[in-house]
Amino acid sequence: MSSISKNLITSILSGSIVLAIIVGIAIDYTISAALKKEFDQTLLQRAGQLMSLTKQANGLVEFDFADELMPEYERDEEPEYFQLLFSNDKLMEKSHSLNQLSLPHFAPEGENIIYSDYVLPNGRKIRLLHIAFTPRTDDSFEKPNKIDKKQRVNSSDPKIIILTIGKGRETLNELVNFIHSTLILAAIFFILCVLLIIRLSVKQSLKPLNDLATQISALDIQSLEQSLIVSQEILEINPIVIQLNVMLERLSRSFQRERQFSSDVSHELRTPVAELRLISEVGRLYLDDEEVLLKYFDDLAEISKQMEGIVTTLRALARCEENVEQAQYEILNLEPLINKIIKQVSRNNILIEKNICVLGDPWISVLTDPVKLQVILTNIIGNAVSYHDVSQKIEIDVRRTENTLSITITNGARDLCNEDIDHLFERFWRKDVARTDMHHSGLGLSLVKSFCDVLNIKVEAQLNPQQSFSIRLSNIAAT
Amino acid sequence: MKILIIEDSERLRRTLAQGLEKLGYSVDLAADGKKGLQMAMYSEFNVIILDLMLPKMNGLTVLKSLRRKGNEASILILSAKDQLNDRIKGLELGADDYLVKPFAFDELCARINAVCRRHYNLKDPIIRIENVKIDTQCKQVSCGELDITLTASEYSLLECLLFQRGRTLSKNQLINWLYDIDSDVSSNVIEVVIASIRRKFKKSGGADIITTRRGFGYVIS
Repeated sequence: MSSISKNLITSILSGSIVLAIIVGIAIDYTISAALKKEFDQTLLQRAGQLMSLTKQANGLVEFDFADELMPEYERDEEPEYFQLLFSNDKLMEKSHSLNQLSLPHFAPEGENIIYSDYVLPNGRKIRLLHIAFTPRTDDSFEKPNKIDKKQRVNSSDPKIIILTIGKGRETLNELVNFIHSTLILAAIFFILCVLLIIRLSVKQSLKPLNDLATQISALDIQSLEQSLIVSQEILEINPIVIQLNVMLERLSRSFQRERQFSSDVSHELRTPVAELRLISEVGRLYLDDEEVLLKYFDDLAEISKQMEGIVTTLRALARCEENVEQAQYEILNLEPLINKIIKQVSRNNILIEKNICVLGDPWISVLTDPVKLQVILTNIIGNAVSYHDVSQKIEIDVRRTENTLSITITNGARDLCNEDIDHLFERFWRKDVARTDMHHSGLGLSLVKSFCDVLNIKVEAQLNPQQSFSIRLSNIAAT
Repeated sequence: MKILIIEDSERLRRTLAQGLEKLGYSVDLAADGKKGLQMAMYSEFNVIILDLMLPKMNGLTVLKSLRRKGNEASILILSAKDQLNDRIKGLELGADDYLVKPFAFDELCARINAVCRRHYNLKDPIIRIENVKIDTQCKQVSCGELDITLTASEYSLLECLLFQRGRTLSKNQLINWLYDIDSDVSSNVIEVVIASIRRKFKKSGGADIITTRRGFGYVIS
């Protein structure tokens, strides 16, 4: 599994290591180059000294060298070396430290100086400087007794001398090695420090995430109403916390709705189940009383019908929620349907029937699912009949607007208040908290809303002034 | 025993009343909380069966009002609300028992008897007076090995005198115990029932445990 912490540590550490190596190499190269330059400078100085001891006059070259003044070429321990050659490779002079050995030589062009590394046959590593020079001309050269060493070379053209100086690299190598080791140790220390700092800072930076994870792991269904809180506001985490809290709120509301739904279903079914059980038990006490038993049978039929209604409606609602409820569109003449529903809900009560008036254009045909539209209108008009204020008429107003139709059912409703309008389409919501009326379960308007969604009909409830209540169905396709 | 049922479901109310009446209880009915409270305040009941979700006044308000006004009837809550909080709240407000719907009719009767026994401080459901044994749980009366078959009203009257043993009860009190508010019965009916009980006891060899206090009423000592 990918880890932010590991990724951060790995990437920052890799970057730091690469950086440390580059910087180390650069420092090492710079210091080594400087040391080598200084070493070469020393060789050059030595060469200068030796060159200054070389003179020529009248075709003769003299090397005026005094051992005691330059003991480094004579000593046994870590001696330095020099070798003077004529341009025809003939040896002019070499240091005692070379004994039988000779140094490799190059003939640099012009005044160029060549540096090279060389390993003596005894294994000693030395650095060489090769320089070609013309000895200075000196007339005092005729007094050979005043100097310790001199070479008189008879040559027709001996002017170019090749000087090769060698100096042991021990000190330089030690210094370079010391610098290497120091840099490597410094790099390791730097990487360890970086690792420690990264770990600490990553841990510190990810602490709010860990706190958040702890809070989330402690959440359960009972604590969904609690918000997640981070101790300090962090730009990157804040949007996550906000979204998580929004999600928790939604979950909490969903669970609350589910709990309420379960409680409502349970309550709505408990009473009829209690009635069924009681009738079956008490009925045994009245086996000899036909009248009581017949009434019980009627009760049982009514209870079964009531429970069947609840179950059927719940099933229809579930089908709507699962998007499996499909509309079967047909052209339908609205007027006969409305008249049929009025007769059905008024149960042939002429007074109720007369109290319902149909306004507008009910003869219009619509393109809809007749079964679903009948369920919708039966529920709304049925509710209007059940809960209406007898002093007011129930109005069914059908209006056409271009290609669509709207149906508004208005009735008086003294008991309703504005707060109730928000809950009207909720499952099992009933104005009567005692839920006494067994002919209603509080599912009718939920089904209306669900079927309207399936038919793409807009449904709105409104409490008008003068305490009249209306439900408006709009966007019904007119033909 | 006189029972008031305050229940908004008409079918439940009616069936419950029929079942209890068949077992010899005198039952009065109220369809809403307000009416139930009025009936409980103006008439004496041994047990009140109270629903919680009632129109006009909810059950808990009825319960609280009854207890505040000193009504001592045993109250048994019969509700679809099954949450622990609802049960605790009901019992804390003064209910004697709580039964969740749906329920068994026999359990309801057993609980009615239990709250009644508690009310009258009778721990044992079997009461023995001289050679007569009365099982208040099974509603059976016997004398030695012989069962004495009493009608529902006879047993109810005997039970009333037993529950209030040592207390002289007038004919009116006994009528109240035996019949519901709407019943129109004369005080002679009590004399008839008492005479019938005595006759059945005598026939089975049982002692005459009911004493008549002339001008006051009847008592079981």
